[in-house]
Amino acid sequence: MNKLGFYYNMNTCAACGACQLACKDLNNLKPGEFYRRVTVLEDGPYSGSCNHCEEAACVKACPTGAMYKAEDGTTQHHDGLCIGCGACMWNCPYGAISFSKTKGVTQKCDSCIERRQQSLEPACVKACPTKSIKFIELDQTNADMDFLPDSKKTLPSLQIKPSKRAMEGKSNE
Amino acid sequence: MNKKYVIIGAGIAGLSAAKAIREIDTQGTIDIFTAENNLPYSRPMLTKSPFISFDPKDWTLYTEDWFESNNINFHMAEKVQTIDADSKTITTSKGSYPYTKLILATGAESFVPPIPGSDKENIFTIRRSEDITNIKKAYKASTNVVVIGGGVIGLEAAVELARYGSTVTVLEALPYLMTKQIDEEISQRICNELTDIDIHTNASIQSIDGGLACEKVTLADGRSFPCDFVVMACGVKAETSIVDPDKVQLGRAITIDQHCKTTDSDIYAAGDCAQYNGVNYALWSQAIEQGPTAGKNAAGDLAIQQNFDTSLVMNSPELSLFALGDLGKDSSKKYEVKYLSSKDEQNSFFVNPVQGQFFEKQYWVDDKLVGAAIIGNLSRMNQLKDKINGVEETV
Repeated sequence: MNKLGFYYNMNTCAACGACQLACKDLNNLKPGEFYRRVTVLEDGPYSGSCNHCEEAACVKACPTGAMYKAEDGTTQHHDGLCIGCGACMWNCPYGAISFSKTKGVTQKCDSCIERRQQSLEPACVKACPTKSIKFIELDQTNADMDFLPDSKKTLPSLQIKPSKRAMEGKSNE
Repeated sequence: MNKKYVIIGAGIAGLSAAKAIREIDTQGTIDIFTAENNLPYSRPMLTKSPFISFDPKDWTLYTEDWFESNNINFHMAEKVQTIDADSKTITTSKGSYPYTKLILATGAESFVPPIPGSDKENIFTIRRSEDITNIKKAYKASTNVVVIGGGVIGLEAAVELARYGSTVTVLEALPYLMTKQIDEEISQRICNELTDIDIHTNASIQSIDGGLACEKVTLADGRSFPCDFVVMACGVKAETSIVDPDKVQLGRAITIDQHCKTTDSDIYAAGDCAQYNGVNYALWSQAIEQGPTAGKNAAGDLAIQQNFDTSLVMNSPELSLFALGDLGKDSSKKYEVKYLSSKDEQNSFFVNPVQGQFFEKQYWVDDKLVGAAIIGNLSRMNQLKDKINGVEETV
């Protein structure tokens, strides 16, 4: 079955940071808090966010049910149920969750669920000048990169199109 | 004739015992007694959820409907005063009840060390929801707080109080924090991470001074710490005051065997009030293993208590900690220490770099992982648990 998730193309990404900026702007994030972050790694550029994992470690760790799997398969957070213990934040292998000192609860990418309900694209997708990020029904996932944790742990809903360098790295192993 | 089950204590051990009995024996009567005047709630949440919004009603374990539908008589605010093991009867503040099988799940009470002045006003322990209510009243009018005891409860309370703007000092009598569970290096790292709190180890407390209410805590070396109130978090001691030591063997807690049976064959014990092989972890995981074991055996089934998770896990926005097993505590063993940290992997990506980083310390004896601790990202925790418990062979 197809699942909703991010598609990311390492080959076309210019690491310009527009996705990160649009995300921070929309979600009003403070310095040091990220829903999405862009960097340049040995293998090439990478822009990462919450991967809305099928076996989400944050959902398992949450003692109150504030972190939950929504009907569309994305991982969502209910601020009112959150007690700010930080368990989700410390259990996410992707470091996708941060603590909002202004709200007193944890926070992460909600895949712009409100925008999507209005048939708009997530802010990061909209902002990307090279169309390297998409939020689509994925027919397959691929998150087995050297710079990411083992995807078997949480089954991320993520499809990365790896760069040439990343693939060469794999074949050298 | 139907059996009469009496359970003393409505914490998670007592409740899970009742549930286990009902699954086997649908006919016997079950009476469960608690001295507290509220429905049972999840006690760990006292320090794991924010003080400011804490309400025990949010953490109710079982409602009146549950007791009714399972035909369990729940006696709220009815303190058990005596147990007569010869006539198999208990006496409460409201009457006497005969039993066929008795399960003791009396839990534990906070341990208050005999420090001069520890009977003053504004000295709190954390065990019940009223304690949090009282602390909430106190911190609104306070600027300085001293927490005595640097264990998980003490640190969780300290972090929470610091969040509301109090100047918090933690005093630990031992050379470093949580000496049974972690080592000195991990302790030092915890102190470094918790920048909002002033932590002093090797703090031998001489007295708590002041008039009716405490005003300062004085150490043997002469240092003193002013305070508007004190939180004592010095561990717990098993609640065994209603147990007759001539009938039921007591150590530091009620001695039980692998079936959770005491030395009286009609009396069982489980949870914080019980010790097995001389050990009482006073952990939730212990209660939810021993409670059902006691219940099943009382109902005539033969059940043996299994190993339970004894790991220490603490989460807070500033700090996360996991520790399990032997972190170099046996001086006769030769340990090999290995380190692992996210800094070793330069080419790794985390959305929030602060949350992805971790520091891991492993203790090995004869090529076997015997203990480990992590500060930071805990995503390797379950792997380490399995490896230490011998469940899986690859890390």
